[in-house]
Amino acid sequence: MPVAGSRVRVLSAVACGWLLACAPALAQQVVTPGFGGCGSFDAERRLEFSLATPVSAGQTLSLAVAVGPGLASGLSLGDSRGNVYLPLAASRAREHGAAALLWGGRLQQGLGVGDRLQLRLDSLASDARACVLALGYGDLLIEPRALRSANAARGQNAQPSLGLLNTTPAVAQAALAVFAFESSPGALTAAADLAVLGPICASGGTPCLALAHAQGDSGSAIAPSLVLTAAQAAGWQGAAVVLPRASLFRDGFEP
Amino acid sequence: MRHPIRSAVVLGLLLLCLLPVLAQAQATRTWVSGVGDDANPCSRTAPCRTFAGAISKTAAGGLISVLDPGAYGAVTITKAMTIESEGDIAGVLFSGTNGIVINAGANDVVSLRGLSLNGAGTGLSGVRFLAGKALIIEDLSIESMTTHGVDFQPAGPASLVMRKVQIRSVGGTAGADAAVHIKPGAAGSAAIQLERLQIAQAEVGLLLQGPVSGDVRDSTIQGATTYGVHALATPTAAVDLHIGNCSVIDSAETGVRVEGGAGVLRLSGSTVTGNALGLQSVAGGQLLSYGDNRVSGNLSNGAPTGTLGRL
Repeated sequence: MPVAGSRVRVLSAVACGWLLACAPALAQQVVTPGFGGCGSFDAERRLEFSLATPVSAGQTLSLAVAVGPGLASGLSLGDSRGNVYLPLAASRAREHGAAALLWGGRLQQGLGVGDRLQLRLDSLASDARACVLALGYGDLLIEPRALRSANAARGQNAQPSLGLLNTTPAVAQAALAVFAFESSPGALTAAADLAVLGPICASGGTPCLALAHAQGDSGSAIAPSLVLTAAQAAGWQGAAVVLPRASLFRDGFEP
Repeated sequence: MRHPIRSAVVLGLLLLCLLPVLAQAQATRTWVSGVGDDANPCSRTAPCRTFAGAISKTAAGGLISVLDPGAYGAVTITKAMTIESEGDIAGVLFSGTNGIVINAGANDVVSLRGLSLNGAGTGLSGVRFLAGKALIIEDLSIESMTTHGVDFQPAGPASLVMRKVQIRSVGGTAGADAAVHIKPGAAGSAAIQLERLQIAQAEVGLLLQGPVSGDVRDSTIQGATTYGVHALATPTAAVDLHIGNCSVIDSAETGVRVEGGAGVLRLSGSTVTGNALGLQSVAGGQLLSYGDNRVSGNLSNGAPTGTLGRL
């Protein structure tokens, strides 16, 4: 879904369409609908996305970002309500063809329809485009001490995959992965326990972005790797994290 | 029939006479040359051809010196020893194995100076330290290894000093192999002092698995395929390190990363730029800044977990 311009309004109907078509299991796991879009950074090195779907305070928002091509630096993410988002993992091609980043934050202030997410860059050597896919969660703990593992991988094939660490079945947790493609990988498929959003592609076909998600309850382990199968080979960068879910603490610490 | 007691006495006297000769067979200083021969006594005028040939003729605490440029082969060191080359290129070319392995006594200090280690793309580790009191590496270059440049895994408490060491083209992309890998054994610990390292194109620049403490300064780590610096601590294997006046550049994943609640990296006067992610803390690791670092130009800069005052 290529979208031009520095401000992108994303239709929730389209986003929900991804959820239903690409990830039937995800509809049960994700509290809020996903949303996303692509665009180009403007002259002030900003790219904004307007929300068409509200996200409540207290929920956690994870955002997968693909940037490229171009030598960009100092990427930060904010929103019009002043919520803070943490970079969780990243991977970048040495030639700066594409980069994948994963961000997340627990919303102190809820986001309403029309609120904006803003990507900002300190510097930008050439025209760069970016795509964003976001998912909201009710029980995902995103804070520096909660990050259980983070890693990245890259390749040039039709089976992008990311190994996961600390996927012990003893705790409830979720694995999130971002894949940035240098060209369209076509349709993506994954194992039944892995939900995938995307791909979506910027104008010109690069970058493309997909967000993958797996979730395990106490006693059920997440698969040790996230593996996608693409319709066609493409250069890819991937980054993944494992995060605990708040239900981990519910029995012991919460009423 | 011979008298057994008389035979034993004769044998004993013979051994006593030979003792000085045996002692002289191991010299305090020996020499190697590209045109030497391991059948030689490794003297200045009759040098050996390889380090392995010279080491058996060198006394504990002794010195093997290089006379001229050449390739002197892989070697295992089991006693206190210095191998040095002043000015000449002393190469260690090897493939499919480790270059220099140190498995010495608990009080032995081993020094390596002025060597060039090349694994030809299939060598495992350039220098592998398994046991000893200390390893001192100066003026070394290491390249084209599949595993580690320097692999420091002491069985007991040991120290590592590195000065003016260049390491490049090490490991692959999985994040487990490093230009400098510190991972003491179950009863081991590492105190490290690393200065003026130039690391390029390694899988990980510095991979620190505890227990390890010390200081890294005046060094550059460029183009890691995963992490520039990765401190990976566990509750029983803490990492506590100061990184001063270093540059960590162009890592494909993270410039400086500390992982685990027992991991502490303190950063001063350093530059972290061009990495996908500049600074990162995982699983409770502490990444503390003295407030005089330059963390910019990364795709995402990240942030320290805390700051330290300057006295």
